[in-house]
Amino acid sequence: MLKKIFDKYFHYWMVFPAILLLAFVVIYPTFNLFYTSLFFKNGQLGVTRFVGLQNYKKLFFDANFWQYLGHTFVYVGSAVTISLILGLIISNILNKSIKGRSALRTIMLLPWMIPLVLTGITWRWILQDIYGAFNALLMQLGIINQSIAWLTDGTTAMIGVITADFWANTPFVTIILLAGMQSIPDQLYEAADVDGATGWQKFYNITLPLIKPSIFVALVMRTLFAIRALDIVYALTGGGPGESTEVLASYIYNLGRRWLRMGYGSTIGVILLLITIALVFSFMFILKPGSARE
Amino acid sequence: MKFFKNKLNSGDNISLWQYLFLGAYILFSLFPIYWIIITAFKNPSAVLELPVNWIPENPTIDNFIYVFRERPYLSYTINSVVAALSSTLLCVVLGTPAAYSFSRYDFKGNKVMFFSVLVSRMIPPIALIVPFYSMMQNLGLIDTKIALIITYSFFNLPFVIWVMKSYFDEIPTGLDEAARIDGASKWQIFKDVILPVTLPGIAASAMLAFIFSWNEFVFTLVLTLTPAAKTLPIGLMDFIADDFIDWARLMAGGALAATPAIIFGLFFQKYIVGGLTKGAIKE
Repeated sequence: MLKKIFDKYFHYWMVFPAILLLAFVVIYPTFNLFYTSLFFKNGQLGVTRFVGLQNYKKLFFDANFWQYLGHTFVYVGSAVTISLILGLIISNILNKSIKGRSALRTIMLLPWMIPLVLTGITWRWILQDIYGAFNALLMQLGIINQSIAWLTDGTTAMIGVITADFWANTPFVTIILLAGMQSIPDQLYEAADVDGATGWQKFYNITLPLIKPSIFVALVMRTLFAIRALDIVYALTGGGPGESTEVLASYIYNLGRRWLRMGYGSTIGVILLLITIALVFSFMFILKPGSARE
Repeated sequence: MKFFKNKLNSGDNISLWQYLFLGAYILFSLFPIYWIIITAFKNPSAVLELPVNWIPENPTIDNFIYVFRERPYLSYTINSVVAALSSTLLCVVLGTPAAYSFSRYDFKGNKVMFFSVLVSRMIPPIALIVPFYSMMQNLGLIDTKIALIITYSFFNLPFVIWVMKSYFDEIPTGLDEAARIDGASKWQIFKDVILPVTLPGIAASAMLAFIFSWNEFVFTLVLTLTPAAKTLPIGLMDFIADDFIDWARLMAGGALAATPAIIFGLFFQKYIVGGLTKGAIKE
């Protein structure tokens, strides 16, 4: 009898425990985020008061918010673009006849697999002004003759953050694009060879259109992960110098955890979530990833 | 399925500039890792000598001994191992049956539930730090490993379900049919027929879930306070908080934090790449 019931509702038994846990760790916190964003909630003052949409109104006059939003777009835009271009070049090279492809893939993957906070710390150490590796290299090569304090200038600090990001994340893009390239049938290239196509023509007319779905996936995943990334900024610059590398992620962390301004921190969290969704939908609209999938 | 054929695809050989580009990129990729390793094996005072020594003169393991003896790195390591292993186990045990059900059964709510699993991957963890902090505070779980294990399933469980579903989708349903005709129950079909065939998939998703948990930063930073629950990546920030950053010892800690990445990358690259492409491509 019991066995029969188990068998009849088998598919529900199989999903039930997972869905229950997801309800606890995904659905509840997400609703809680929207709910908390409607409150003035300050842990230091110990005050919790319903304020409706006041926090969202405050957002428009919060100069920090707009400044950090700008930094976020600079950071995400550059890091994602550079890693996509680099990934496209590298995967195209690895897709050719090359010796030791497996070893190359192993070496290439390493930066992606180490903790991002270690990536941030390591680049901080590389860019350190006196004993750092970058200045030492430039000096030994005779390019500069005195060390430069990369992380005390807003622009070079941001470039450092972006560099650390695409250093760590280009491998992911490469793997995704390479998988897309490897699924292209050889006959297409053979036919192109018969027609006397050049390497560049084959890349532009065969490879690129056919890996459009992979490009879409890489673009979406990279953007999702760059826009939420706290690790690198936190470890490499701590938002500085001044506030020149503060991004929305670090703003949420400071508001929510350091200053215990939990209501307003949640409001920025909601905005970050909405920006994420808007970006994913606009990529879908622009790239139409389904169109090249056969 | 093989992910990377070993024959050439685009039929071209590599031009000289492509070789140079690849070489430069590999140097760029490896240099920071080399810098971590040489710094970790240098004497703390040798790090502050100019010109920089590219090959450590008197390599030493003192920095590693120091972080274990004088800093709570033993606790951090244990916490990292316990939290990452438990979360991986939890998510594989709960996620695999769910993925099988999503792949094989067309029941009410199947599409909606699977779609919400996908959508949940779009939610940035950083946005949820306040809800998670309040939730764990109410449960009295701040600064415990249990909080970390539960919280990591936020990203691990959807990931495992997603990857495992695409592995199950690739197995012909004829296999289920044949077992059903032989009189196997639904549970037996899953456990004795399908599961053994998907072991490579389970290995791949487990390894990636382990790496994701091990490397996790945001939730752990928010939910832990002391060595009772802090993990290695969070422990590294201890050094940054010091007035004077002790780079040699910090990099020894960094090398410890990078160990699983290096082991998995060197020995199980096939699984990592397989799970990664499955997790990303199939929608």
